[in-house]
Amino acid sequence: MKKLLFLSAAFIVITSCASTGKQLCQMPNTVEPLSKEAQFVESSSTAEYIILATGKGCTVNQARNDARKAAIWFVLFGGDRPLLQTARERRKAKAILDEILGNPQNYIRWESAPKSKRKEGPYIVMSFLFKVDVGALKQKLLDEGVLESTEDISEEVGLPFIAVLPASNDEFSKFAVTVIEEYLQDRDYEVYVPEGNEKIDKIIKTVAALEGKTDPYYMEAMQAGSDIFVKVKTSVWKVNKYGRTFLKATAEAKAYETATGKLLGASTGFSPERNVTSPEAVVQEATNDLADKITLQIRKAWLRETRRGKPFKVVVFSSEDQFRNVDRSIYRIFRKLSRRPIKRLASGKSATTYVVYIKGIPNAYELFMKLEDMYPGPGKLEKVLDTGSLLIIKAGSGDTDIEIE
Amino acid sequence: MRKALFALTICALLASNALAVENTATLNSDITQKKYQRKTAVSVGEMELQKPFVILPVIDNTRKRPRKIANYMYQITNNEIDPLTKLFYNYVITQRFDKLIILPNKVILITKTGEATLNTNLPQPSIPQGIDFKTYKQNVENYLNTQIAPVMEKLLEITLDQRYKELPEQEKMTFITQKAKELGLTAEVAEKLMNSGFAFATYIPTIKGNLTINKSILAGTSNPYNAQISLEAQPVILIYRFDGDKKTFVPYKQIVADSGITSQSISLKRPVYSPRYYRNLFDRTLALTIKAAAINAGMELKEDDNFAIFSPAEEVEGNSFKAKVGVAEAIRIDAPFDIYEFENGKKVYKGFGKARDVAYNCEIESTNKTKFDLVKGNVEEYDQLREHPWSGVLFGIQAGITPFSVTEVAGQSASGGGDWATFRITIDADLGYIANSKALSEWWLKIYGGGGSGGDDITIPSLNATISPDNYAEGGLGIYKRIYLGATGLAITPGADFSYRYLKFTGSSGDELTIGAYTFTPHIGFIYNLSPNFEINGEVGYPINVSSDTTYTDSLGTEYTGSAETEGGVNFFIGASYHFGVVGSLSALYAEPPSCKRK
Repeated sequence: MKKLLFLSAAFIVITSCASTGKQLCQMPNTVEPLSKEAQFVESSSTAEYIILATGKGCTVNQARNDARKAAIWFVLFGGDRPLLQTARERRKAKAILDEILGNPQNYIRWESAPKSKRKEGPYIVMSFLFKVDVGALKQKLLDEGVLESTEDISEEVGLPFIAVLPASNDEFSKFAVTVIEEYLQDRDYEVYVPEGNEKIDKIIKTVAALEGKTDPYYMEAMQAGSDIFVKVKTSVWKVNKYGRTFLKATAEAKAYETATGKLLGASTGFSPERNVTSPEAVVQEATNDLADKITLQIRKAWLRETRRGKPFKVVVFSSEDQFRNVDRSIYRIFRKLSRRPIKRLASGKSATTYVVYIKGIPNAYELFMKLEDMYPGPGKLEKVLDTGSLLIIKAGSGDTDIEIE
Repeated sequence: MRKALFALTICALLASNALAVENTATLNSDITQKKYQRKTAVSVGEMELQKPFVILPVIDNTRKRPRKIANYMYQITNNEIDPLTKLFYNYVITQRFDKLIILPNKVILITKTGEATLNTNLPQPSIPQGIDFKTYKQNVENYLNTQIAPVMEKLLEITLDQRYKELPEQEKMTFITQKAKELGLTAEVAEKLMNSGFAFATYIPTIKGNLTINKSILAGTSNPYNAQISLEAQPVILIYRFDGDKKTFVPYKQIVADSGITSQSISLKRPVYSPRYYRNLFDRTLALTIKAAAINAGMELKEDDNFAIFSPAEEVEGNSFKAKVGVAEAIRIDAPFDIYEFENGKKVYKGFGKARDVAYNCEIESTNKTKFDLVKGNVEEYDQLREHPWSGVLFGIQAGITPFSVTEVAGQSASGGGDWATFRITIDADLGYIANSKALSEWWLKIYGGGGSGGDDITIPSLNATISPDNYAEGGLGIYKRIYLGATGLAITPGADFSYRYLKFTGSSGDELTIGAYTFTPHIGFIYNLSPNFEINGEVGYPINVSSDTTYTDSLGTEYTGSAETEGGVNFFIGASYHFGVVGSLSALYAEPPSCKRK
């Protein structure tokens, strides 16, 4: 009997020791996700992302909720297209992070059955697909002043005018252009569709020739008066297998600052090989893959670039005899107006091109008025053309004819 | 420079492929949430018999000493092989497969919810019966790759969209399905579907067996003799996988099934010694043997992860949970499913549950779920369920004490008999699983036979006889219900047996007492499942003598006959049972596998 009692006591001690040896699961007292593991899957529309996110918790429900938070966290901070792109935005977001991550389901439109479940240490780790309402999330950030609204940007630095141009004449690239335009418009950008104007065309060609540039997209963008232009190129492949045709598309977009030709962003999107009835479906899938990224890149670059002034390309023509003095006067004005160094792209005997960054002036026309006010001579300034970031002026006294050939 | 550019282009293309695949791959579950994906199956021709006949040695047990008196040979004709083949594949290629059916002028592929027909004159394999295994295999592979492969390819292609819709996971809520309104099957999924075809061919090595002519053990029957044929078949099932890219069938695996010893008998008024007389009995036994082998083959098939059903556990409430499986996957009532979770990179066994209410999930996008009870261990939402290969039949042993104390034998007052140390061999069969009946869920059939020793002397004072225990034998049939106590693996088992007990006592002067008693035994016991395959059990019963025959023959040869009166008493047994997978003669009780065709 004594033996039995001793054995029972030993058993209880051993089993209780074993159970205390197991790690206790405890959720940290923070609203941030325990897991910050997430992956972008697809931009299913202009306002929705599909995100594969992993969550940790002591229970299935906690893990699921943590995964929801991880998905939202990823959209805000993670990957290559976070909504909060600048340190300032991230700092501001801290104030409302608890509110957003405290109710992640407010921004989740659909969630899948679990894609994975495992135990790691004391935690249950689960993955789900989520359709995140990026539109609503962004609106919340705008409402709370975390993100600058397009109006704010307009007031401060001016919203860029963007021209989206197909890099080739094929129908799919044109289709991709519309997809990207849709994304840009959804983000309140002003999208310019270039239209033919023979006179402007001629002037632009002359200016471009002056700089030695012959890129037709550049010229088209200048003509449209855009601040930024996006070149879009798509390719579609056909593969025949299993008795059917599978289509695969890639889309490539590059965004440039029109005034300087500076590359602001580049992105490539892919579709899987799909058996679809229309190639447009895979082209759009591939374009969706990049459109959101490129629009965010544009926004980020534009904000960064224009904080110290909006870029303008100013082409000045004058008569050969007055050109030296005109050039000096104009240059001095720009030195006063611009905090950044002034670039002189090309200069001849009677013409020169400046790239200047000027704060507080939203367009080329206002820049002209400013120049006109400040211009000490010789002679006066006369505007030939202003389109977005491009200003072409004649300067000097007397009749200075500009031959545009 | 050009080379470098070329290399860069290739790299870019490869990278783009990788990215595209990465995104679509994320839409699928990983191994921890694995779900069964339907396979397409075709059977190649008829079952091949190594010998299209069976030779049965005939043992005559009606004489004092058993002796072999002849060999009876039974031919198995092509007309018989055809229905046997159908019977066999009915239990092997079940509802969980999309079936490719070859008809004289067309081939039909029946999927879960649709079918496709290809009009083609596909020649029969025309493989002669009675050839060796190697030649059979060559014939099968030749037929598969020259005749079936192009048809399989075509039908798999035609049904890609249909089968994609039937997949447990699709690209829901993505741009392609929501905005582009396209089915948009990816090449990756198509490849999987094109590689989901399997072909089955079955070779049966020589079927062995015997025919015995016996005296009936039961007393007082009008047919005092019986004849029994026992057969055993061990078919080899060749499984080939269709390679969608190479458009050929490649060997996948080989299964050896076992029918177990399968017997059928007929009662006889007198011994009959004619092979023709037993032809019908042979045919019945052969069909049963093939069915038993098929049940075993179907079970063996489930050992392979490709053919077993996987599903995550859902809607866990107390000791019950659900899963998106059902009739479409040929799940039977009481089918056990093992529960696993993945912990720190390892797959950990957590217990098992049994299907209690099987869902009809044959319609496209059906959300019906099968309900399970947790039998042992624990389950959490989204733990992995894996079908446990099971036949519903357990073989076991039991040891215990059986009372047989008499107050009267052969019309004479008597005492003695006492308690017998008894050893039993048991077969337990889950009727819910076998008959696929919800009403019979966890009702178990018990068949047992055994013997004993160690009883006390019987004294018959009026005949001045004291006789010593010699033999105790019993055979019985019972039924009991398993009532599980939570998820402990422990069940209580109320039930009752009906048995025939035979006792023999011999006196020192050559006198002899035999007792044959029909006994009804209500009992209650317990079962403790260590797994679906192994359990320990115990029971306590109260044998009640229903009727009996006793004969006392004294040393002079005088017989005294009458019934036996017993005092009663409690018996008890403990034992263990194991699942071997063979079902033998119990295959007669098996209902057809669940089918989507509503009757």
